[in-house]
Amino acid sequence: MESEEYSPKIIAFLCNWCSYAGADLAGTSRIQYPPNIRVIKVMCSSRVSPNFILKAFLEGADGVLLSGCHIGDCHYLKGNYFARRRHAMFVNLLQYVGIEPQRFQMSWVSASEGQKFGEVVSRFVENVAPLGPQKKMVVADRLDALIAEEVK
Amino acid sequence: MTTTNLNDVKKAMRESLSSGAVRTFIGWEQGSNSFRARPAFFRNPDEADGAIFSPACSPCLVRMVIEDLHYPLDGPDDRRPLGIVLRGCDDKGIIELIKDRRICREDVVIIGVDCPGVVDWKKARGRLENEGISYDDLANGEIIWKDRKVALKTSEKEINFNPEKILMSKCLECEGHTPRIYNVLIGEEDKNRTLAPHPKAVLDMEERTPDEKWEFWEDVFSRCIRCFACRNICTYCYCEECAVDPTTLAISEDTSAAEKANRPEWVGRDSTVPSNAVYLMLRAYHGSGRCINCEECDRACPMGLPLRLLNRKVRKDAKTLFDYEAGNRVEDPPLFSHYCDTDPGDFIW
Repeated sequence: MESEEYSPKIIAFLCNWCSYAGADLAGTSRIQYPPNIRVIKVMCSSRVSPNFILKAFLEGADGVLLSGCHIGDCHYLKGNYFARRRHAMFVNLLQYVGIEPQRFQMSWVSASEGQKFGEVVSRFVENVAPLGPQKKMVVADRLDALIAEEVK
Repeated sequence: MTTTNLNDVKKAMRESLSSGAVRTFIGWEQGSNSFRARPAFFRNPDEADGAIFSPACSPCLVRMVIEDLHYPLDGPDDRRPLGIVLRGCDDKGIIELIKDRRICREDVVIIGVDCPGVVDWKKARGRLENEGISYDDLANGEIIWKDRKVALKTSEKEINFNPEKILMSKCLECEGHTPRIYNVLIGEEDKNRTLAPHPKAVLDMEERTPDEKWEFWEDVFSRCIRCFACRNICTYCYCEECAVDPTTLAISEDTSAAEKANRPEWVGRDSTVPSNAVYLMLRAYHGSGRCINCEECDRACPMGLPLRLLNRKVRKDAKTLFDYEAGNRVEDPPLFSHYCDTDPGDFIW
């Protein structure tokens, strides 16, 4: 395997009704954005609990993006309100422990905002890439596999 | 001294037990030495003679209510209320349980007491030599409150302690010496309830750079042995299926082997830094708006980890972001079960 420049692995939790559709629109409109995100579709941004985000970091994610409908536009009416409250608390806790604040980001992207989705991902990758691979929270056996890959 | 007369407390306990109004009384009894007391269940009026109320009474009793709910001492059919002795700090725990709808107010009969502050055994243990306390003194001495301060009385001497060097940290920021909810208050009500300021330790930690923070927390996470003592003693951590413990999956006789094998494992039980980080962070996060700062986790931790440094951060954020205080008002809905239009959202792109 030839040596590659470091490319961050980003897990993106996208809500089915707005953000996933927005990402889809970005795709059909051929909007260019960095290919680093790996999408996990959830029905609503409030489905995502801090468990999910921490598990992503445990498994080796370099960054986590959580995107949902704009406030007031949630398909389930209230989900994103709960998500906003919950993650305001969680973002502070993550930073308090020393995880770089650039590694977790929330955004509101609606189904018609394909352009915005491209911009959100580009901005996120720009912020996360200079930090290098996330090694603080990677679980031991996963870390061994990552190191083996790097060495190859 | 405390305005609470122990004999009056015992009398109230004996009366409720003998009248059958209460099925079991939760209080404190003498522990392994004069500085230590442990939670006790007094099930009949004679046993109530063993109750104590002294600076040794550091454990928070609210957890015992939950333990009894899970495994009722008197059997599942006895619906009489439980009795409990509460101080100014513990009443928050009962309020939280009522808010969570785990119990109703009628399920507990509360004897309120006036508490000037209790001993932190870990602090005391380190100071025995300094203060000239021998093991004999420990075994035979009596720990009392003298002028609202802690003192050790033996047959030969009396040792007065500096509060900062002997009291639990939460006692140094006491918000009120008597509880706000009670059936009977034995002692003088503390009319000057205050709110503790934001802890300096948390504010200092927030000022550090990410690298400095990680240096501190990585050391803490590496020392955690995942004994789960903090969770088992915690006033709010009573979930039977714990999100950070994959072995506590709720099963019935119909659960298939495939379901058990494929249960979601958010974090393993290994005690490596990443898993401990997730465990401690998630436990603190689950305490948002629920942690009452009872200091049981710090007291129970065998590794002496600064666990409350995480919980107090979450308490501070609940106050500054959402103006929410745990255990303050029974009418408050739980923090994450409602929202406000004015919730902060600047961190969202």
